[in-house]
Amino acid sequence: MTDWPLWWASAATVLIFLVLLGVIWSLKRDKILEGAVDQHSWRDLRIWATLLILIQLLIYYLFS
Amino acid sequence: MPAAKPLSSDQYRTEYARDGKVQLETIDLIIIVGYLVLIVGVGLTISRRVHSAKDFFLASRSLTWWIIGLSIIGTNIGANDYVGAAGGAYRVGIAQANFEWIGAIPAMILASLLFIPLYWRAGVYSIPEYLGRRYNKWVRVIAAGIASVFSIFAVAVALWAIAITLQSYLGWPVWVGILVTGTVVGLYSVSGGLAAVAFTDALQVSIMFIGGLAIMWLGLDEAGGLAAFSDALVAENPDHLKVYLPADHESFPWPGVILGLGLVLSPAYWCGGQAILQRTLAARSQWDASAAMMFAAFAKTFIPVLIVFPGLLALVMQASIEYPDMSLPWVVKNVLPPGLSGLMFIAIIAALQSSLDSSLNSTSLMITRDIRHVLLPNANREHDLLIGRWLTLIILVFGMIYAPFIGDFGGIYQLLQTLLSLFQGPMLALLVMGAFMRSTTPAAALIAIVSGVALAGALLAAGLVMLYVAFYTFVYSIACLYLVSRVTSPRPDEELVDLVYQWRRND
Repeated sequence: MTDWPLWWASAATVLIFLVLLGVIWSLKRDKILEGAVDQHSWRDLRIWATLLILIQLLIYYLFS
Repeated sequence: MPAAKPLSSDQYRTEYARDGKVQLETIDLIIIVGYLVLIVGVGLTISRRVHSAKDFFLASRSLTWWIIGLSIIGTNIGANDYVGAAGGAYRVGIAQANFEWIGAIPAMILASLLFIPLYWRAGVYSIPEYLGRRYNKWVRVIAAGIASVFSIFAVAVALWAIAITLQSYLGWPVWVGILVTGTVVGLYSVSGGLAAVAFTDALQVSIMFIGGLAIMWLGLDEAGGLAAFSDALVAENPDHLKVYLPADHESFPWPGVILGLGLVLSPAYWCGGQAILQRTLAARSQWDASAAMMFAAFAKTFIPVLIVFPGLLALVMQASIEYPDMSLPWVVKNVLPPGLSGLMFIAIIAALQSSLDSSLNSTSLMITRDIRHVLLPNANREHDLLIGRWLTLIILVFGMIYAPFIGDFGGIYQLLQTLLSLFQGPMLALLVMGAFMRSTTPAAALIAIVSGVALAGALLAAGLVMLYVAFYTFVYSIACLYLVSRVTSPRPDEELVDLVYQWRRND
């Protein structure tokens, strides 16, 4: 592993977050909102997770 | 960049105290005393609501998402972070922040949307209890036993870390720091249980953010702004703004960061760590539990501002320090004005206290329920509250007695991380296979956890880097679970309802 090129790290990071996005959006909305006091869109945690992933991708882009 | 020397515990204790000492003004001392009174007052007020074991361990399942989210962060930022992360950033730069980003965020999202709903719907008090219901009682006892032993060590380390910080800032002898901290934390942890712990954690994290933002604001001002700061940093340290370091780097090789930290240690911690997840099981609803972890993930994204930036700032300001771990006290001493020094001091103590109180409460829970209830099935459950409180006190006193000797062992943080890598791989494999494959059998789980820990011990003894040990033992445990499950009997499908994700999605 010691000779693996550095760009693989960035590629792996993007891959991890893309796979995560796929997993998130495969979940059903009603399961995500189970127990919520109302069904407002802002309570859909998949949206917040997506925003979080975009922030992470931006951070890794800026510092890679 | 000055040569970074590894710092033994004894060196740390003496050097940090001598050169990193911060002169606190009267206003700082007033703030510190006010904080201690506030924390104890909040904790004792909440303790009046505790009437049962459920109140004590799960806050009557009444906590809202933002309280839990702040408490998660408070529990997460521990001794190693405030004491060592700034030093790490001083040495390797922003790569240190991987512990807060790739080494946390993906796992926190998975915990929020996949694992927490599973635990919450199963109605368990703890992760070992989930493993016990998913596999069998012996897996529950072994998992609780391993986690408890680690957690008891963590209590002693947290007390020691607080004591040396108090020694550095106030000149208190280590034993006085341990006694005062133990008394303060004990007052609200023993009486108030998880609710008191969560509310005080939330307060402590708020203070931590105020202190951290003050350092960043004043530090950037001192350095001439963000652009000047960046230019000064990379002028002599070209890799300090690179988040990944080469694969042959001695301490932060990127394959180890992604494979060991990102794919194994981090999910094991965020999806299976009792101290972290216990407060989500105390949520007033499943959505609150999941939202709490998501909120914590957003906060976690900005944690490097608190614990990494001071190390970079010390480098830019060419701090006259001999050891990287002295960078934070140097920044506090040279950047913050009176008043804010006291606030930052409180932030550091708060970070350590919030990890300590969480370890106390979760260890007490695991011994009371996951070990006692299984080994003594006829034990009176009505005594759980009393036993939980006594165990919290006993673990705290044990930690207080043991803490002064922590420094004599040298490299205790490394020891803690090494202990984690012993069992995190097998534990994560049990959780993942248990949650997503109904064919995984109890016999396979028992064999995987015992042999996986033994393999981790052998790999560590052979000198393999801790991050790789976690990855290899995770892969081994997955293979072991799969292969042994093919030749042993699974539990009946009807016993796995609400315990295996595949079944839950088809509800």
